[in-house]
Amino acid sequence: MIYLDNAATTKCSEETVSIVNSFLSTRFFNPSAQYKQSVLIRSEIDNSRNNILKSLSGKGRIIFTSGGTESDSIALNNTKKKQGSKIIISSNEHSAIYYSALELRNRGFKLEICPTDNHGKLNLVEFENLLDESVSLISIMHVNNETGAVNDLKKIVTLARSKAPLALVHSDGVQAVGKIPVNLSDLDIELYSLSAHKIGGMKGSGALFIKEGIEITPFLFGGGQEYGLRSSTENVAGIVSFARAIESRVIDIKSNYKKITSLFNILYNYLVNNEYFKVISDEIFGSKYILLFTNKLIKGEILQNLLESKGIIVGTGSACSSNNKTTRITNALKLSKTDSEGVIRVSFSIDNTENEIYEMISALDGIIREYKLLCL
Amino acid sequence: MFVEYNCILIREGEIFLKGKNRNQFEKQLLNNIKFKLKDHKYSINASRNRFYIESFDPSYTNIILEELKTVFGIHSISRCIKIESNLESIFSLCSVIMPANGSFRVSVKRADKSIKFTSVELAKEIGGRILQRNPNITVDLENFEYELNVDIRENGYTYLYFEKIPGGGGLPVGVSNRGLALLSGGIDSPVATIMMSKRGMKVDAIHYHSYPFTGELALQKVRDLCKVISKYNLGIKLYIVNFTEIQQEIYKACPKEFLITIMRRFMMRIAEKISLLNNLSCIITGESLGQVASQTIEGITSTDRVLSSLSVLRPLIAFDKTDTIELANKYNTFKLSILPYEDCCTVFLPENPSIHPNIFEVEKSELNLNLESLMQRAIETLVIEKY
Repeated sequence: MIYLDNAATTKCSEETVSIVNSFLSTRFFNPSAQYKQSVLIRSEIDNSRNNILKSLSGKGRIIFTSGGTESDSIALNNTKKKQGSKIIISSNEHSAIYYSALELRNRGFKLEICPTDNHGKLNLVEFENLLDESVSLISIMHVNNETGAVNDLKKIVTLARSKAPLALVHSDGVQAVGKIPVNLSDLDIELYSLSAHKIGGMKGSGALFIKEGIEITPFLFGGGQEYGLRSSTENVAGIVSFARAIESRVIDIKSNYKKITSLFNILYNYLVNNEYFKVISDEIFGSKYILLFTNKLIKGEILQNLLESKGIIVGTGSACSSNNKTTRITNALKLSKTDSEGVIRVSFSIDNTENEIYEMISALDGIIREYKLLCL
Repeated sequence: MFVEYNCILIREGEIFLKGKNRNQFEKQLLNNIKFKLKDHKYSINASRNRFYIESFDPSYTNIILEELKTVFGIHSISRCIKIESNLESIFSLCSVIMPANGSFRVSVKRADKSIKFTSVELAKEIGGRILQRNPNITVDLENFEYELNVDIRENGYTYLYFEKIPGGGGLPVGVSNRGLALLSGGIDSPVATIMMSKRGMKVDAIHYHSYPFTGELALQKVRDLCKVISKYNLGIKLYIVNFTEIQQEIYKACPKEFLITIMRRFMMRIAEKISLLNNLSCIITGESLGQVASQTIEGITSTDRVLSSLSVLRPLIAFDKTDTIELANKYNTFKLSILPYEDCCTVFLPENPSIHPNIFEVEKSELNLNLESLMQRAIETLVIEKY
């Protein structure tokens, strides 16, 4: 099997499996207990917290969560905001942000949804126009999970500081961390969501970065874990393996990116030289981990099924209109009806090889050839 | 005082209209109720168009009621308090179980003629006792909030109940032979299938898929629909046939405007063949006249022409889509049906299908195909699953 849907989830790395194994079997102790084993585990959690902050140059707190969705939800729902104030998100945010924002609108906040360009990158002119002193929260994703578009967070934060001084800025960094450089101090951002299973960690493990001085209201009450904000016995195996995954991905970020870029380029060059395909991702400024394209012959879902029958797993993503109950992402990317029907998302991981991409290309060639014989 | 419901009363549906077959119908209904409640401990007795379920664990009452709501052949269900027909006990219990506020009426049925009062006299007496005990409640024979039914039976017991919960209606599954439904996964075919179950038919289903063009999700959706249908049909057998080669061959060899008509003719032929092999006596489809291009009278005529011995039942033929959707919601199939996966009918959809296919032209264009070997190879892909 060739797995090319790594933006959905990745296989756990061997290191994750080994760490998880050890914390599930021999080092299973409750970190809140008083005996030596527990104290040691508690310090492992603290180390994990510090290592993540160090890897991302963050000054503040990391609270561990059950994943990106929970982190996004905390950022939107549990930050202090003036009742009725303005909240800004972008038009192609992940559902975790979009639906939390809709909920806030129902509770009386004013929601502004800022458009993006055709690659999925925030339109900064429109964004700037939305800024004023009534904005209390801005949430703009770092790397778009559909197209790989990278938003200029630094510029976004700078604009926010000058025109919306009361606003907290949050970013969903789930597709960014461990893949492109992230320096939280340099970005000067207040809140940043992370997830483990997109970089070889475990599902059910994530974190939220909270900048120094930013207040979050507690939302799970009990034993007082996670600074009293999120009580619950810690997912130790998930936490320790997550921190380690970030650490190792950040160390190798350049060499990994080089490898991923060569995979991206192989597929990209094939697609742009084939009359039936059109690339939606931004090949210059986007993250090379995600390549979104469309074709005018075969519906995305059918093409995905045909590739699966040849042992190649790709995603259609929510940009594929036939696979989605809403047309939110399709509209955000301004895709035509034909383009939205043929969408395929390929997302790479460091486990993929060039040969796998060549196999995918030859499978695409074969499918197109057969389909043309049958239907044209 | 807390009084627990200790009996569930089940009223038969139209079975009571049946003449000589009535015993067989009642027996089937009893078997179906037992099948539904196989995970529970209880006793069941039949008497005069009714069944009484007793000796069950009261904490499972609501679960049992939910199970019974999906049994066809049941007209209505009531949770009852069963007591011996002693008038003093009846009077005092009635005044205890009535809520303290609101309006009420009492309806008495007295099948036990050894009781010396008439039904009206009894109702008056019970009403009086209730008012005596609950000064804040009022009698209202027309616009009442609570109707207390007091059913004094000949067996020496009285049944007290407030509500009549509607049952599934129809006839018990199994009394109207067996059929094979064409199940696409859309909104109509699951409803058509359950409607036939409601008329007492035990239905099997056949699904055509177009792997590798269609995927596992589309097939899983049909399996999930079968799990819902199974609740009403008391289990269902699903025949899965790969239809891809047939579609591809039609696409290559026949005029595109007849693609759907010829596809449907193949589906009918295969369904008939599988029905005959499995002693199924008809084919069921969810077609509704004029709904899509293939569901015109010409389309339907040309698909039916391929059948040699079985009839096609189309329970939705004169239904509006909104009416079908209402039933799909009632039977809990709607949410599954609208999952938007490609299925065998959408994969090879021609842009301009013929709305009024001419039967002779259709038959002529089929001459380009080797019908028998295509059918044979499709039937070789058959997989059977049970839900």
